[in-house]
Amino acid sequence: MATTGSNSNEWMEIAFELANEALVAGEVPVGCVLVFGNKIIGKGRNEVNEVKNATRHAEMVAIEEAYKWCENNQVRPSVAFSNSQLLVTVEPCIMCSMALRYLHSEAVGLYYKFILITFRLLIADQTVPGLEAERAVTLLKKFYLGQNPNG
Amino acid sequence: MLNETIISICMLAIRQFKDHLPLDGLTHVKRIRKDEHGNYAIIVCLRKHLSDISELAMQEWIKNQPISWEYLGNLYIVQVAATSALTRKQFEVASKYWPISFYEDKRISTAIEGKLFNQEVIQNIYNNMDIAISTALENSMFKIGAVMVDPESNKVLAKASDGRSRNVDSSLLKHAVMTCIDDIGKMHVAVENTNNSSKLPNEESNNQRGYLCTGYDLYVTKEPCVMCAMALVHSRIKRVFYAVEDKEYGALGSRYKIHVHEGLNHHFEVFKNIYRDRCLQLQ
Ligand SMILES: [Zn+2]
Ligand SMILES: [Zn+2]
Repeated sequence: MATTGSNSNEWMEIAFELANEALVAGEVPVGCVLVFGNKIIGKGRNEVNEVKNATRHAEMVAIEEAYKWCENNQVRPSVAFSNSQLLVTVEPCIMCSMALRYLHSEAVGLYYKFILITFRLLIADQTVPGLEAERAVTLLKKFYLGQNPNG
Repeated sequence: MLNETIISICMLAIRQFKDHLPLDGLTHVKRIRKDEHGNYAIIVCLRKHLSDISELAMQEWIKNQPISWEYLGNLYIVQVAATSALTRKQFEVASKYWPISFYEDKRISTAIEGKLFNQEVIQNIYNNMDIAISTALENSMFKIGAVMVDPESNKVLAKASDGRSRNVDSSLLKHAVMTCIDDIGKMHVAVENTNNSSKLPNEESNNQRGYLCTGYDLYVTKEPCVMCAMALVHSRIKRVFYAVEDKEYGALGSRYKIHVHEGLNHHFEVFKNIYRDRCLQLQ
């Protein structure tokens, strides 16, 4: 099972800030940071509406940023990803789970299950779910209730 | 015995079996059958639930259930269909073993009969896969190509080849399908920007159209993986046509069936084996 580093609270705080940023921008509030060697190498928040692309989840954005970081810092992506942890405010969906699996990156999170799928198995042995879930849920509620006042 | 007596014995037995030995997950299987000689047989329980014990021990266990056995005959093992029948042919084959219920899906039947598409549409399908094949050849390592088409106009909106190489440090996520979806997003952003600057009257309709792949068809030479299949669900794709199945990673039929997964909020139709032989040679 994955363990979060000593700075995990600080990193998670940044993930929540990113989720908040998404909320303000009218996106589903999910934020994440990708950490390698005690350093954030990728940050992301949902930008689906902004770029009109349903695959631009926080995780995918962070992964793309991390690839750039690797290039700029002359670090091999295969080394960086397989030794990295993703801290994310909402449990990754099937698409993002599979992407993380391709990269051998661990998902560590304060997940709230909003997509209930058996594919959780894909990363189940590598996750630490459930901490601070309420905070992530509150953000999601703000988004969905904001969109549908009658809901 | 009188027919009426037999039926009432059967009814009682079925009621007792239902209470004590329910057939979980076999809603398509009829509990009782009457063969051509007029003999009745009732399913007691599933052998697989008791697979860890011998047949003798199983018989004993069954006989110990709170059921009135006095008018019932011998226990024996039969084979039944594990899943419900989707086609009439499956129904006919399965019924030879044990009766099952069948609700014909007219659309699937029409598709199997080869009557879903007319000649012109079939020609378009092959033409579009042909474009996917030439796109696939653009990458020398992973020869996979994807093409997004608007079926209303049969216009090609985007095409992409696989962006991976054998190097583990290359972009491992640049699958052809993902790149194709990215390009559609970029196209929609560009369309919106043009509309905003010139204030075209169809701005509203473009916004209505949405940012996703709603109403579009995807053609791809190889069955999409889990990541790509889920990306297509997120994008609200209309239909997917692929050439070759992927037994190891395929998520639209082979390994998983993401396109019909009950837990997901969008489903789509998938057609395979379009130019399969040609695409087999790509690998
Ligand atoms: Zn995701
Ligand atoms: Zn893929």
